[in-house]
Amino acid sequence: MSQISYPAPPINWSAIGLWISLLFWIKKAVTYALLGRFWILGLVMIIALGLIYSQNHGQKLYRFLLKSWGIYLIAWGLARTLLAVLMQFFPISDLHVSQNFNWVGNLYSVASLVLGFLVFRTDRRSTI
Amino acid sequence: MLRTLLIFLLLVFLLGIWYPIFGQQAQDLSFTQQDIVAYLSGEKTANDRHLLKARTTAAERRIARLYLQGWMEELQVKAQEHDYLQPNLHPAMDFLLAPYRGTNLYGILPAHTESPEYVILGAHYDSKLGCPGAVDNATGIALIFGVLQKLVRIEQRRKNVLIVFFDQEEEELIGSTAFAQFLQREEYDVHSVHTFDMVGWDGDGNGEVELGAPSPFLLPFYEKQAERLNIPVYISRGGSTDYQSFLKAGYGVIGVNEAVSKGDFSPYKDTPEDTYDRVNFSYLKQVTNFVSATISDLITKEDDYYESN
Repeated sequence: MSQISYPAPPINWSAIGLWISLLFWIKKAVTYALLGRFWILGLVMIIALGLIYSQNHGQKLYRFLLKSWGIYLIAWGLARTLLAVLMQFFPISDLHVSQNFNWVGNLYSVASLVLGFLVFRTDRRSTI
Repeated sequence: MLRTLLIFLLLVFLLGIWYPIFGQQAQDLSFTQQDIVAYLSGEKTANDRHLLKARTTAAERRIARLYLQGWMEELQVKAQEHDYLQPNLHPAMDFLLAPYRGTNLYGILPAHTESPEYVILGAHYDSKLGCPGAVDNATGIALIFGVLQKLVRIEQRRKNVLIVFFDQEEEELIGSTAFAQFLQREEYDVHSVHTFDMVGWDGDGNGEVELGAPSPFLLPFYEKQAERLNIPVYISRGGSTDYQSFLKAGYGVIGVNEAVSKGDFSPYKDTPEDTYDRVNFSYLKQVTNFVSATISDLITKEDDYYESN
């Protein structure tokens, strides 16, 4: 009796990227909300709720939100990476800013670029 | 002959008792202050063998805090850490940067009578990047310990005294802003807040002291002692130091420092040359005595004492 084998489903890197990036930003949003700043929470809520709603109601909106989130992540990573490079040539005395661009901070920036790229090239199979 | 010898021995005996008790106490203040400034500005190490070149990075500030904790416990004041997070100065920066993270250090010297009120004495312990910060602000810290040495000996304290060392003053008063919020959140009954920043320079030698933004009910106490000790004082309304955080929060405040707004302040401020040897310790001692006398008055007398007498 022959056994039928199915190929393993492909890893959905876009969905993984989306989840990781959302979790990172939700943590950041909650931290700032507890400090009385709600802008980031507002942004993350719009994206997350918009994705949940549009998943079953409008593929166009869903893809638009995904692409927008991808662009945002790329822009964030790019801005921070550029600042980090600039600070190598023009060091600043502000400790708080320079500490945000230590090796861990720079790792976040690069990771955001990668995640942003993964989310941006996503297709309709990706779900949250 | 025997009588003379006995009198002589008695005198030696009395001197032996007197010197360690009273002679030592008289010298304690300046020795302690020199020790504190020397350690905090990297002039010398303590038992922990750390040489603090500055008090800027998280590691340097932690070492400074441990040292200050040691001094607080020496004076029987239990040291407590106040960890905080603060948002960035501009909300747009929150998107790019993590929040400020720091630690204030505080302790309470309780009143002898049942009192809900707290007189707060504060000075920042951080310094600019790469600066030893001897005048700015190891001197403010040394002043507080000098005052505390006197306050612990008062037997009729009618108000609690809370001493606090602020983190991140050099980064736009972040530590004191967080502490003002902490006081409000914990509903402390704050009588007044006194902050000390840069009290180690007197270029023209006139011993002048600046009183920053004093609340009207505090001024008579400072003026009375200034008059008694013959210390010239003047009032300034500007200044960017820790008392501003408490002023914004609505507390009664006063800032004490060298004559900054008249231009008589350390020219080495925020430079690597703000070192131990630039500190005028006799000026620091003079201001410490002035503040000690004022705070002693404040915690043993009624608020309207000088207005009604």
